[in-house]
Amino acid sequence: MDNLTIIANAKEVHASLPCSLEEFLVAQNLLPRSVVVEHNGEAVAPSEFSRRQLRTGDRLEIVKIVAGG
Amino acid sequence: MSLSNQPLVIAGRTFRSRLILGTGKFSAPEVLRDALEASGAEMVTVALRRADLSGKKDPFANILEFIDPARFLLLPNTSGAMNAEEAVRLARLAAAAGLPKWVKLEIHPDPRYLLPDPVETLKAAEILLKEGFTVLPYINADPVLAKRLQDIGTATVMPLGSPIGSNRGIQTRDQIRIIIEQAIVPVVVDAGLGAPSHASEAMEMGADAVLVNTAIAVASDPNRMATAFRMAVEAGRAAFESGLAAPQDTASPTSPLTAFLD
Repeated sequence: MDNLTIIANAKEVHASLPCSLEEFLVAQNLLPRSVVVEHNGEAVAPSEFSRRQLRTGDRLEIVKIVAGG
Repeated sequence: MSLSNQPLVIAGRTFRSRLILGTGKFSAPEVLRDALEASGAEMVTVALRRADLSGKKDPFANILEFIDPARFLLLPNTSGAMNAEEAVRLARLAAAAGLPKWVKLEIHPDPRYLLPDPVETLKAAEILLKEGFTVLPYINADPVLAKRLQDIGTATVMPLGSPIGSNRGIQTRDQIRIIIEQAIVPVVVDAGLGAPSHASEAMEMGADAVLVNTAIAVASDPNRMATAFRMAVEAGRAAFESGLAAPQDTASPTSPLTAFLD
């Protein structure tokens, strides 16, 4: 199986191809419904996660809603 | 007993409570939930942060399970943003997550005093307003900046009383007075309010609302402190609406001044 390298939150993370954004999040033990993702600089709605395919070198910012003032 | 205060209207949305709560620094999500209930608040702030990819357990992992979005308007903030570009990215991410398209715009790159950057804040507000966001900017108590922001269409202005989390009360009194005098949008005094009396003072001055976090979150009994702030905000507002007596340099008798036996 081919591998791909994603830059997730500024760290290199490996995953197997083909890989949707949803599959990638599940592989990172993240509940897809609990996070927000920026894919190559573009905010992605959770409803898009399963359709969005990742390619090697893609940059992800995976963000959570947390407590704050 | 109700004091029958006027409701607060921000961007066409009506709030009965004039107390906005920040959700940071609570010891546990259950404590936060109870304090929210006691505060009577209808708007609460949340933040966005990079997810932890290490798989560690976090008790606040699903904070939204403790805040009913049907009862509380969730106001995402842009804390952590160092400049306008990062603040705009955070706001877009919050909107993509399904949060309301409202944003507490805060850009404070200096960690010692957390004072907001006025240039970046104005720049970000212009971009977010064009994208249809309802923008509530956190600013220093600068009347000129407040006017610039309300003129381009922000929903409020949110001047600080003193630095975030400092509990020093309203150190910016004279500037906030000017901001209130010239305001065409609600004025929310945000940051530094450490005691219910500080919140009362803001309301008595004619502020439309206050935002409180640290003073409630770090109290030994956050639930009762939230109640104390709720009552202080209601009392201060009622006093403002009722017309406060003006301070005088000399005494003014409250009993007849004729001698007792005359």
